[in-house]
Amino acid sequence: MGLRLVFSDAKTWKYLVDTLSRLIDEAAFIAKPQGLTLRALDPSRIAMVDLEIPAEAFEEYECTEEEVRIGVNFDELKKIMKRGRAKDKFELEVGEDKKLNVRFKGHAIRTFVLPLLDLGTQQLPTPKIPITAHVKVLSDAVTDALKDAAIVSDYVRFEANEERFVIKASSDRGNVEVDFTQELGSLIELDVKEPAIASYSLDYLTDMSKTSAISDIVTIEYASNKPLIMTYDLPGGGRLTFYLAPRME
Amino acid sequence: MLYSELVEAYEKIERTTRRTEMTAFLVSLLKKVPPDIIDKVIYLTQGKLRPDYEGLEYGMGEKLVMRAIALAAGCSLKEVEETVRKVGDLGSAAEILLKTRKKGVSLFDFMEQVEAEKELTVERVYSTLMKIAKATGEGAQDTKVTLLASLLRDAKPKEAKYLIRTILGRLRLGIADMTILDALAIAFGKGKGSRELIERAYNRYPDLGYIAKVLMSEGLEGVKKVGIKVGVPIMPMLAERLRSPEEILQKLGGVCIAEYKYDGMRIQAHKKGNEVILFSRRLENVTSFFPDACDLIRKHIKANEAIVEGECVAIDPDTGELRPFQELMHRRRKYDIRRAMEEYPVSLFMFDVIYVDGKDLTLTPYPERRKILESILEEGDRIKLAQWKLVRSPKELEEFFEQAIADGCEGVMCKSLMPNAIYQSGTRGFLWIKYKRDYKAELADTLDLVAVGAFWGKGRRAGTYGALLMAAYDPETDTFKTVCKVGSGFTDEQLAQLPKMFEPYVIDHKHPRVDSKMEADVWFVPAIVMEITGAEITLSPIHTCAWNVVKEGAGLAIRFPRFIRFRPDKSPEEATTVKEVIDLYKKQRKITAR
Repeated sequence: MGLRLVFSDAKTWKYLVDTLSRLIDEAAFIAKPQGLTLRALDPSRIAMVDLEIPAEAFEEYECTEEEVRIGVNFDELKKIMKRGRAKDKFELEVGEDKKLNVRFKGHAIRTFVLPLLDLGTQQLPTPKIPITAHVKVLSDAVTDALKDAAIVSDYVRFEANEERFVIKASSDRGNVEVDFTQELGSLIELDVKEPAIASYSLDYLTDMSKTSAISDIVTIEYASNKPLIMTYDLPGGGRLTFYLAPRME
Repeated sequence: MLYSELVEAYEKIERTTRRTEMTAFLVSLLKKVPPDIIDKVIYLTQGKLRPDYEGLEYGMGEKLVMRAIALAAGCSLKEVEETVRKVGDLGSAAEILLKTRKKGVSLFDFMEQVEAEKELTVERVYSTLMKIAKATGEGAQDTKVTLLASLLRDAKPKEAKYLIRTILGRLRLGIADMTILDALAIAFGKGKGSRELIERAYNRYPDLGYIAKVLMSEGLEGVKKVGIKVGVPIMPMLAERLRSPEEILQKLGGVCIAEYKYDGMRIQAHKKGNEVILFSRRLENVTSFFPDACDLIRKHIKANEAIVEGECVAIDPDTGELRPFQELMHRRRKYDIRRAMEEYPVSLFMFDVIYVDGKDLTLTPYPERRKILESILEEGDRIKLAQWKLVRSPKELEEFFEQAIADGCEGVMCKSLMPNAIYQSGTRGFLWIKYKRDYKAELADTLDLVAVGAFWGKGRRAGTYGALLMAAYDPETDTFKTVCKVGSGFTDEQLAQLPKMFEPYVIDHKHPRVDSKMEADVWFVPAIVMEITGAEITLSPIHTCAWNVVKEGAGLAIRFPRFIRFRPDKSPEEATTVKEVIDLYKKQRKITAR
C-alpha cells in the first residue's frame, strides 16, 4: 500500500475538515490514481457530503494502488488540523503499516499518526433529483442570508422563478426575506425550468455554508420539495457538494 | 437481538399490577437474550448503560431531546414543544410525531437501491446510547442530538417512546435489583433457590450486567467465584437496632466494642496505588465532591491496595468541632469545590477494612479486621479511628453513649467480638447493633418510609397533595406495604412542591411492587424515602404492613404520623422493613404491659 498526497497549503484542508466534522462522525476518503473522493451521510441521514479532488489539484499525488481507503474519525482529524498553520505545506501519507500520517511542514516538520478505521466498503448511490432550478450565487451572500433567517426561524424557504431567487424565513417572531438579483451582483446565474419552492433546515445549511471561507461561488440546484444540491468549487481544483433533504410542510 | 423485543417486554411489565407477573415477564425476556449481550439488556432494562457507581450520564436535557425529535420527525422545534405540552411527556410526544413522520425527510427517500430500513437491534441502541453518553467537548451537544435523531429515525414510534424515556432517565419500569436477581435465578440458575447464591455475588460486586454475564457463561459455579475488586464498590454491611444497652449486650454475648455513630456520610474508600475512589452508602461515586478526603486516604492508608470504610463528617474550620450531617450537603456540587472545601472541611473516622493488598477480609472476624485497620491507618488531625471503647456492662455502654451524644453524634454502634463476626456485605444483622438517641417523639424510633401514592388535598391544600400514602419495605417479597397516610409536618412550601417533586414518578395504576388495600388518587413508582415519626403503632384493618402477622385480618399502622424530613440518601429498598415495624410494635407492647 502506498499513498502520498501533498497540498501546497493547509488552509483549504483546515476548513474542509472543519466543515465535514460538523456533519459526519466517521467516513473514508477513497484515493485512486485519478484523485481523491469522499462520500458520506450524516448520522440522521438528512445530509450527504460528496467531495472530489482530482490528482492535478495536489502539488504531489502518488497513489500506487488501485484504491486506498482512508477511514478516519473526523473529530480526531479536526483536532489535528487545528494544529496546522494556514501556510504550512500539508501532506497525507498511508504506508505499509496502514496508519495515516498527517504532516505539516512549516518552521518544523510535524507528523501526527492516526490509526485507519475499517468502515466497510458500501458505496452510497447518488440521490435522484429532477432539478428544475439552477442558481449560482456569491457564497458570502448566502451565508449572510442564512444568518438573517436564523433570527426568526430554524428553517428557510428557497423560492426560485424565472426572475429571481429568494431566501425566506418566517415564524411568529417575524419574517425575513433576502432577494438575490443580478443587478446588485450577488446573483450570477439563474436557470429555472419550473418555479421551485422548498424548505430546508438552517442547522445543516449553516454548517455547510462554512465552506464560503474557501470558495467564493456556490451553485444551488433543487426542485419543489426535493433535496437541495449545494456545490462549492475548491481553490486549486475539485469540488465539495452537499445534498440536503427537504423539510416537508 | 431486536430492540422491539425489549419494548414488548417493557410494555407488559408496565401494564401488570402483580410482582410475580413482572418477574415472569422478565424471565421470559432474559431467556431470549444471546449471552454476549445479556449485560446490555440488563442495563437497558434498568434504564442505564453501566452500573450507577460508574456515574455515566447522557448529558441530554429535555431541550436537546426535543431537538433530536424534531430532526427525526421532520418538524419544527415548536411543533415538538406544543405536542409535549399537550400530551405531557416527551416519550409519548415522540411516539405521536414519529407516527405522522413526513415522507421525504431523509435522503434515503430519494435514493434507489438502498436497502430497506433496518430494524433497530439492541446492539445498535446500546452502542449509540454509549456514544451519546461519551460525547464531550466542543460540539458535543450537536453530536448527541444527531446520534439520538439517527436512532429515532429508524425506531418504530413505540420504540422511540422508550428510547426517550431511557435517555431522560425516566424509564419508570420500577424493576429493582432484587427483582432482577430473582429473574436471573429462575432463568439461568436452578430456580428461585439459587437467588441467595447470586445475591451473595451481587453483594460483593453489585453490577447486575456483569453477574448475569458470568451466570450465563460459567453457571452458578462461576458466580460463586465472583470476588471483590478494588474500584467496584461492595454492598455495605448494615446494623440492626435495639433500644436498651441491656438488650444489646445480651445479644452480643455480654461484651462488645462500641463506636461513635457520627452524624456524617458513610464512605467506602477504594485505594489503588495513588488512585482513590469514594463511594456513598448507596454506592454512588462521590469522589469528585471530596478531594480532601481522597488526599487523606492516599496519605494515611499504608497499603498499596485497600478498601476501607469510615464516616466523613463536616467539621467547624475554626474549632474543629463536628457539624451536623446537613452541612455536608454543601459539598455535593459540581463547581466551586475548592471554596466549599474551605468553608465546609471534613474529617474521616475510619471503622472497618474490607480488603488489603490482594486479601479479601470479609470472612475475617471483626476484632482481627480492626487490628489490620489499626496497622494500615496512620492517624492524623483529620483522619482517625472512630472513637471506640470495649464495653462489658450496660452502665459502661450507657455512659459511652451519653458521651457520644455530648460530642455531637447520633449514638453508638455496638459490634460483636465473636469469631463469627464476619463482614456481612449487603445484609442487616445483629452482628452490628445501633443504639441511637431517640428523637423527642412519642415513638421509640422514627421510620424511613417510602411514598407509594397520594391523595389530593381540599380547601387550603387544593391543587396539591393532602396526604401521602407511605409504605414499609418487605425484603422477603420485595414489595412495599402501606403503614400510614401522612399529611402533617410539612411546611407550606414543601406542600406546594410535592406534586412537582413526585411528577417523574407518577403512574396511572398501582405499582406491582406496592401492596395496598387503600385506593390512592395518584400512584407513584416507589422511589422517595421520608423520615416519619408518630404516636404509636396500632393494629389496622386497612394497612397491609404485617398483615395477618400480629393478628388475623389486621395489619400495622402508625398513629398520628408526622413528616420529619426527606431522606435522599436512602433508596426505597433501604427503608424501614416490615419486620422492624413489627419489632417496634412488640417492644411498645412490652412497655405497656410493664
